[in-house]
Amino acid sequence: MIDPSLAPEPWLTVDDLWTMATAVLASVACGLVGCWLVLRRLSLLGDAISHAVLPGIAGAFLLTGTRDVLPMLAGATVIGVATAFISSALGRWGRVDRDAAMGVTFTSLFALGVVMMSLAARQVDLDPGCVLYGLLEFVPFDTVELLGMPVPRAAAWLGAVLVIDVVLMLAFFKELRATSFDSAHAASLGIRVGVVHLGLMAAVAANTVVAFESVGSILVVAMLVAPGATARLWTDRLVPMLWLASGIASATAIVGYLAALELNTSAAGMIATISMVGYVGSVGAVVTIGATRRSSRVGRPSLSEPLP
Amino acid sequence: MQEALAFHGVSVAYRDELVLERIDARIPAASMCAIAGPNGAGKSTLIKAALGLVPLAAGSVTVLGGTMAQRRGDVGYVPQRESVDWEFPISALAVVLMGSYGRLGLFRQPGRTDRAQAMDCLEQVGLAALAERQISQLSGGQQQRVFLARALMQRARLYLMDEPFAGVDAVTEEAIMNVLGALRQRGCTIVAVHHDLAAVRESFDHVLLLNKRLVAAGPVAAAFTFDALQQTYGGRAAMMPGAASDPASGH
Repeated sequence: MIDPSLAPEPWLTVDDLWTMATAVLASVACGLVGCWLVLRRLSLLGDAISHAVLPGIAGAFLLTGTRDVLPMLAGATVIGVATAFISSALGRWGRVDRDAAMGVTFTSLFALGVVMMSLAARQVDLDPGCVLYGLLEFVPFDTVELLGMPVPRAAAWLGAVLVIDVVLMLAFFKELRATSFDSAHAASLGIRVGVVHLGLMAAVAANTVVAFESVGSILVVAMLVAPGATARLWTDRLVPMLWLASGIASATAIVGYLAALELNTSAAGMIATISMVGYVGSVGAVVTIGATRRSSRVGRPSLSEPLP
Repeated sequence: MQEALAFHGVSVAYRDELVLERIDARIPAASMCAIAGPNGAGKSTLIKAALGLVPLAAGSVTVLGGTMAQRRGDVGYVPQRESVDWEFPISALAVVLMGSYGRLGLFRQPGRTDRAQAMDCLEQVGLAALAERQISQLSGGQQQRVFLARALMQRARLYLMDEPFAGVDAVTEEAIMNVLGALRQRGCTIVAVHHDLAAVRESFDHVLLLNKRLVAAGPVAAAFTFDALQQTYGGRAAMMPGAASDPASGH
């Protein structure tokens, strides 16, 4: 008879796989939405919104006294859209730069959120630290019953958000693309530029809130920007960029989680580090490839030379 | 035939400052009308006011006998080339396809016929060979022609263009003029902001001279006078080739 205790411990447990799946879902959802922020040169606004949703989350805690996702989602989405609205209103009427308006809006909302958080922490079990860093390692312990099997609650929510993101992106692809490239022309066609913008901001806020609990708000920022920015380095086409960003987001989450497991360190922190390594490495690779191509082309007519 | 575009006492303000004051002007159908004036005269703003892209502080605009909202499908817009991010990951063909977005409406993507049509529009501006090229790899003139092709894709009756000739090469200028001529033959109206006064005199039949207020408007022969130019540009008009070459025109 073989003693079961002598069997080799599997490298990855089911819990590990679920945690990894959750990280992948969060990464891909944020990465896809983030592509549009990168394209609109609004990466900072993603940062702003993901911080500014804090008072919305804390407000939802204070009002309902629970950690249910739905009230948090509602509170954060409202605040997220308000952030986009306030920063553009300040920029328009406050006679300040867009950057300054954004900076003022999100730091003050974030500060308000921290104050509300510490107030809320007296009433419900809420740790401001876990909002910032997330609790990816605890994901498997909070499950819901789905199709007859226990699924981590975070994975179920993130999966739903990802599906909604993809459906909305497919339905409004034209509008997103036209308003991102040339908003004045899009408006002249009758496309509601402002509605598309607020819709995107609401999506950023919703993604942030659902992802923040598992991966933390700091990692959300990395996940919003890094996959899109990295993918953009490798392709000049929009649809390949979206696919590539999804792939990069998944790979980053998997590699980051495995590395964290191996080094016994924070998974969220490791994933953020890996995404940064991926971006910096890509910049280096693209610059090197570009330089090699240019030097090998010396003396020959360039293919990319503009025709008359 | 009625006018293609009419401004009725249009004023536009940015914050508290009026950038356009009580503009009254009529642009006849099937004409080629240039909008000229110094920097900051409100030329781009006038185009945007016609399109409903900036709120009017006073007055109204009639587009092809209706409101802009009613006639949107009949109006093509060519914004300034500098107004967009040319690093955006998109091909020339995909930019042109955006001209079909208005008539496609919600939830429908361009199909094979739209694609063939977009290729045809690129052909008209001489860029069919570069259809798949990423837009940052095009020259400034080619980018301008891509914008024109996108407007052609809209199959409009009225084209509003913001500096379509700014910083373009001779080939592009000729290509654009040919397309505009062909459009006009078909009865379309062209309104273009233009800096080159000599070219306005040569190629356009109508002109609006603008410096926050409307200084002069009408057929080039009547409105494009030395006096009007001097009033529009101040003393600098003497340096303008179109005016200085023939100071007595119109008198």
